[in-house]
Amino acid sequence: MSENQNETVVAANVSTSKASLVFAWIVPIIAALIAGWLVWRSIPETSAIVTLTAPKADGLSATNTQVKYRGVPIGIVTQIVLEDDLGATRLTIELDEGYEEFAKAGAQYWIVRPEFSTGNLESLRTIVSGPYIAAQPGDGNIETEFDVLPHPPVSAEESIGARITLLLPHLQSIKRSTRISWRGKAIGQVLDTRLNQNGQQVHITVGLAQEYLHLVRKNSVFWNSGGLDVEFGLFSGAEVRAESMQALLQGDISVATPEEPGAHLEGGEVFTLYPKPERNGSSGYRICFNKAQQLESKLKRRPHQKGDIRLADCPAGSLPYRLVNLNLDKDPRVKPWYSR
Amino acid sequence: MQTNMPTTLLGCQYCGQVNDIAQIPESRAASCSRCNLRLIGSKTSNRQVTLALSLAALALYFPANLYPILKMNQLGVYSENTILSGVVHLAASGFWGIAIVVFTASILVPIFKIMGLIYLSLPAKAATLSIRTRLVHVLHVIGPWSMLDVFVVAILISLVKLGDLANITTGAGLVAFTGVVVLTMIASYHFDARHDWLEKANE
Repeated sequence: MSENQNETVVAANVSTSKASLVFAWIVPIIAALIAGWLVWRSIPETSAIVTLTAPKADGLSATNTQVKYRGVPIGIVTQIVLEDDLGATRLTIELDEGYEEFAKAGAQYWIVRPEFSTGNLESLRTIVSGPYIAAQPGDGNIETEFDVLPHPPVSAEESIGARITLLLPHLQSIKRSTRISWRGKAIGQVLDTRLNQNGQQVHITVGLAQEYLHLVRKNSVFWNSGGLDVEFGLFSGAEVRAESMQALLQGDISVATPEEPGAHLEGGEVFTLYPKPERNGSSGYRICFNKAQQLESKLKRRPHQKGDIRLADCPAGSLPYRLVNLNLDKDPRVKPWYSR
Repeated sequence: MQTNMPTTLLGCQYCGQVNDIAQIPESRAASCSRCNLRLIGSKTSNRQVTLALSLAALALYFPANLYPILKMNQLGVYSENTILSGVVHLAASGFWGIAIVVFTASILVPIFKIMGLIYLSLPAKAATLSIRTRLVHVLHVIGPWSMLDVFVVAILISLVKLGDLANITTGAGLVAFTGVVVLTMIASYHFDARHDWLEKANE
């Protein structure tokens, strides 16, 4: 038996292969390096924390709502709480790295929600994705507390050349997005509408684009050209006219400058906005614009004048206007009359 | 004829020859005396490789839990989830069973495996030998189940491809997590429990 044992059990050989253990330890070292780098990278890269105050935070949610500029996410809302006096909400924003300009004085923030009134189709996307906060950078000192604007500021692409004020007794269909048009082309926009001190008048602040500023002078005339014009006549039938679809929906203010233009605008001038003409009569006066201001004084002296100035009487290049439904207690109403 | 048989005997798995490895130094591997194929790896190599791989898995465990494993885009709403936040969301939505399963398979089991492997790579004590061997068996059995999470995510990603309506993509955490599972599996299969018993025999 022992012989069998001695035959069957033999000492093992020492293996000739001697694999180095170095390779085994490289694995955890590499893993630790990768993990350390990843962990270090996962520490949120924020450049600045900004606090916004907004009247309400409907549709916004912490860690989900983004802050965007030109459509690019630049930050995220991290916290939404009420102010201590419960009068407003406080939003805490963490801006991503590299976007410090949004934490400087002059930066603006506003909430983008679906709004039909502005006619801005882009914000319809927020119906699906939820509201987001839009931002514009500032360029002053470091500032970290902002009030959320109630409305988007005027587009930065159109620089405002001058702001003027229009007065009118009734706002009618003028809105913040109503544009000022010269011969149909938009040259400005309504920025703000408010009542005056005693509530008797409406003041509209209008911004005119820089490149068209020279068209509007101190003796220009503004009138409300929005909405529909419906004209019925016994013999002429019905006529429905509107300046454009946009004018119908958003209101439209037209402006024209007399043949002899006045001085250039400096900003801050006050004009009267003549309201939409009412058409309840077929008689009217057709005058050339360059005499409109003279007409006002003429009308007061001779209230029932029924002269008719033919189109041919108007000098070439001036805009003829039809003056309709004179009511001397109110301002004369002018309506553009394009030669047909 | 009871001689003192050496208890450092190993049968070759290729040719069946019974070998005595008493003379083999700890740092060297042994090959069969008859067929010269590998009999058993060196003890130091075995312990160190197991330790190295389990430490690597431990290092990767942190990014696996810190980085998201899943990034979802539903109707323009973007959201991402780490393993833990996914478990919390499942539990909050009422899916307690799934939440417990995911928590066990993706958080408890990997940590248990890593700690078990580190423990195994330490020198053995006589009293714990059978526990250690059982532990090796348990690790072998439960090891692959951690891949559950990885496969669930993979299936979700390949199924949910609805363009802008709904879209799921991987996060970096998933890659790290797969690394953890694979490394622990390699480590547990590499570990040779026979060294424990041979040690005891040589006391």
